[in-house]
This record gives sequence, structure tokens and C-alpha cells, in this order.
Amino acid sequence: MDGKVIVVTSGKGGVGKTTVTASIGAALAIQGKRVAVVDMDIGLRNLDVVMGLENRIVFNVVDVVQKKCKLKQAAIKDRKIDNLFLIPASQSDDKSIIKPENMVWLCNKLRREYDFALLDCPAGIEQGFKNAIEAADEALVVCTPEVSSVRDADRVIGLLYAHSITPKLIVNRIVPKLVEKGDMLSHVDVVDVLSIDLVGLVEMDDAVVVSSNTGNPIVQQKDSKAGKAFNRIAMRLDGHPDLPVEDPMAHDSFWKKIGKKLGRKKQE
Amino acid sequence: MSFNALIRKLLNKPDNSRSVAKKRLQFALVYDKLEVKDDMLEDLQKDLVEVISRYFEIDRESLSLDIQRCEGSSALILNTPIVAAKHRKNNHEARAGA
Amino acid sequence: MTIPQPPVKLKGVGDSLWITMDASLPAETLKQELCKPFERLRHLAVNARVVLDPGESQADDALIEDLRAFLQQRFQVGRVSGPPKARITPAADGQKAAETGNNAQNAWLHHSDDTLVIAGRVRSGQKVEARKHLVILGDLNPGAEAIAGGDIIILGSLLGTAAAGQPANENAIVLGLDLRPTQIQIAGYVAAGASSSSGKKPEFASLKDNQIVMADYLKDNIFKRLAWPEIR
Repeated sequence: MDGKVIVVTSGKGGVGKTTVTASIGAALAIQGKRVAVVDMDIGLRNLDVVMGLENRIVFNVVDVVQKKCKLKQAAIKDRKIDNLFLIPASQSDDKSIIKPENMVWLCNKLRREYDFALLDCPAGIEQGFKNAIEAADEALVVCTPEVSSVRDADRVIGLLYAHSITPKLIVNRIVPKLVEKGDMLSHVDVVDVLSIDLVGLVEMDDAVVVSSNTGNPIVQQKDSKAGKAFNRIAMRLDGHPDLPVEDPMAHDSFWKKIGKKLGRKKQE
Repeated sequence: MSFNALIRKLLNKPDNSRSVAKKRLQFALVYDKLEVKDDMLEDLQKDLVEVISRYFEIDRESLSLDIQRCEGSSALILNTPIVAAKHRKNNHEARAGA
Repeated sequence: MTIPQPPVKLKGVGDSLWITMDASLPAETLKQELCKPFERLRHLAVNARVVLDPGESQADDALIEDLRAFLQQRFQVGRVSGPPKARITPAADGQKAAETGNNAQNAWLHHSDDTLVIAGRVRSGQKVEARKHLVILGDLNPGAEAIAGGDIIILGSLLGTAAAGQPANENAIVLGLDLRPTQIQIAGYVAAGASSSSGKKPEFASLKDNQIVMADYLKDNIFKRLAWPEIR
């Protein structure tokens, strides 16, 4: 049966696309699927570093597209997780080296070889973005609860719809304390404006920084809230779309809940 | 701060993730700069062949140029079988003519 | 019993002639059918833009080429093109929603009636233009633009930029159920953002003494004072 090509995009840079791509890829592989993660940020590669595979690169995605090597030769097996493969970006070319036709060919190959292929899209809406979405089946839009990120996500959602791809939303880096104080947009506000299906909420988690320092996958860290969220997202993408989305705000301690109830009474 | 982290700080143990990250970063940056476009290596080879030919007779067909990468270091490896050294007088002429 | 559809239908859309045809018929039949409406148009068809839409049936490029040559030679039409291409993807959930989005945008481009009424969310980076009045049943997201020759009425949240009365109709208004715009323009006048007290209630912006003023629509409805209804 054919695999699925999912592009992970955001518009705005720095919201966590690469972390999301690597983590969801890892989670799906742990759940038994054959997964490839592809770094589409030609010239600015970083998916390899996040996964700790930067010293194993021999061939990259440009080599595959230019037929200098086979897809299997460029796919680097993950150090820790079976069934997880990375196809890195080239660091010395730029995004104009791949054309949309190349992407159609590449995605067909990926669909034949893997159950899931996650494409880590570069920031922006130029050639790199256009290439990444060209032949994708589905899209995950990542945004943080900040005005600029939501605006860019909205633009990208419009472009994805125009390209006949229905996107799903992941809200990343939520800080429940700030949301409570009213200093950060709640995911409810974000979903209200963007108006697409929500597939996951990920809390800000220091463990993510440590994970990227060491190159160890966050989904394998014990007690990481972000890791658990990514695992749930992977389950939703792979056969359990109705798994309820956990609200980070609901993880309040007993006393906080009491405090909130009293606070609410005062306002009314 | 957890007890473990406190002990680590006191004993100044370097295996926290920050030092791991720094080491990996240094390597990755050097590695990135080494990634060259194909034509660059070809041009380099042509130029090297020209320069070396001024001093030595070399077997151009058997010349090989490659970048070798291994854990922590990298090297440019040029293998040139030498047939004979050229006479010094010819050298000056060759340079003047080039 | 199904009513037989005419093999060729012609209508004016925007600035072009839109021909819906059944591409499964042989080219000769189509050419004969095309002669009928085009002969009636005569000089109106000269230099016109023509769009050939095979609708549900598949038309290959050779057929379009053939018909293009025929129409240009026989009736001196201008450009002849196929319908705007929609991408073919493996079926995914919500594919319908995606395709309708694509077509809606094209529909706005061809619209030329007095009031454009659209439903849905206008996203950042999208632009809706109406020759006269514009009604949106939905929201205008921040980063989206609405431009109208007449009024702009948004039955939802106006968070983007709205330019009414373009280019010089100073009577135009911008009305929204939740007016928190990034920017409002009426004719040649511009006003930036709105104060924090606005929003969550129906308000409208209009020009008073060369300034854009916002007012509560339910409390300050200037139109209620008109003696009888006027056409805007």
C-alpha cells in the first residue's frame, strides 16, 4: 500500500518545524511504521543536527534528485530508532536547484519506499516552500501562540488550500502560566482565527533544548510533556484521528483550580 | 535545581548537554564548510595538475583528488604518481611562458 | 429520463466568454455547435477572450488547440484558453473543502455584478475586490484585504484592512459585527487600527468632516433617520 507524504510547514521561522518533524517521525517509527524524514531546507540544513546524525551524511536529497545516488543510499538510518531514516539537505546548494517536477518524482519514490515521509519545509513562502508542498498529500502547519506566527500561519494555510491540500494545525511552545495570566494567546484564540482542524498542542518544554543538544529524540525522554504530546500527535496521524487533544491548561494543580474558581467569582 | 544537577555543577562534570552540543556544533560547522560543489573539485584538480606539471612529470590519468572526512578531522588527499622531476632550467621558461 | 444538455453553452463571465462544452463529442460536432452562438455574436466576439471549459468531461490539449485555431480563424476571437487548472491529488479528507477554496478565488476574479456576496474566511494574503458593494458572511483575518467601490459589510470579525468607496465615493461605509481592523480606508482617507474599546458589537466606520469615525451601529444608526429607503 502506498505511503503518505506529509509536509510540515509554518511560514514563520523558528516556531519548531524541525523539532516537530523529527519528533513525529520518531514517534511514528516507534509505533512500528517505516518512516523517512526529509530536510527540504536546501542550503541551511538542520534536521540532521537535531537528530544527531550530522556526522553520517554521505549523500543528500539533491544528489537523489539529480540521480547521483539511489534514495536508499542517501537515507541515513537513525542511531536509536529502527525504521527511522533521514534524508538530509545539501549545505552548498540553494533552493533553486530543485524544480517542482523533481518533487513529484521524489514523492512518488518516497511513497513506494516508506509508510510515512515527513518533509521539513523551510521558512518563508518562496521556492523552498513551493517545492516542499508541490506533491505532498497532507500538511501540518506549526505555529506558536504569537501574533506574527499566527498571521504567517494563516497566509500559509491560504496557500495550501489554493494548492488543494487541507492543512492541520499544531500549536507549539504553549506556556500555560502566561496563558492563565492573559499574557499569551490561548490555543482557543489561535484555532478561532485559523479555523482548521487541530491535531496537537505542545507545551514549552526545556527537555526539547537538551534533546537537540544531545541529538537524542524527545519522544524517548521520560516525563517530557512535549514528548508525550508528539506521541499523541503521531497516534492521531496514524489511525486514531479522534484521540482527544489534551489542553495544557487542564494540568493545573488542585490549589490552582481552587484559586481560579475564587478568582472567577471576584470578576463576576 | 534538582539534587543531581547541583552535584554536577559542584563537581564541574562536563557531560551536561551543553558541552555535548558545543562539541557537535564545532564539528558540524567544519563539516558544512567542507561540502563543496562538484565543479569546484574538478577545477581544483585541473589547477593542481597544471602547477605540479611545472615541477614534475606526472601521470595525469592516474591522478586522484578527494576530501576525506573522519571523526573530528578532515583532509584533502591528492595522489600523484610521479614519472620524473623536471629540469630546473625548464621551470623558469615554463613559468615565463605561462 | 434526463433532459439532454446542449453540447455547447456560452455565457459572459467577467471580461471573457465562457464556453461550457461536452468534450466527449467529436471535434467536428463541437465546431458546428460553436458556430451557432458565435454567429449570433458576430462583431462582439472579435478579439474577445474565450475560455473553453470541458466541465466534467476530459479535454486533451489537442482538442483545445484544434478549437482555438478554428475560433480564431473563423470568428477572429482573441485569446482562447482552457479552464484554470485544478490540481489532481490522491483523495484526502476535506479535499472538497480545498477544491472549493481554489474555485472560489477564481469566481471572485470574474465577478462583475453590483454586490459581491461571499461566505467564508478571508485569510492573510488574500484580497477580495468588488466593483460596488461587498458583503462577507465570515471573517476577514489580519493580513487580508477587502476592497470595494461601495460599502463593505462584514457579518463577522473585521481584523484585516478594508478599503471602501474606492476610488472616490465618500458616502461609503465599512460595517462589521466585530470591528477591530488593522486599517480602514474610505475614498481617499485612511485611518489606522481601532481603539481597544471597539469590537464585539456591531459598529461601522464612515466619513464625517474629512475624518473616518467609528460608531455603534445599533445606537447611532444614521440610516434609521432616513425618511425613505435609498439605493446605495
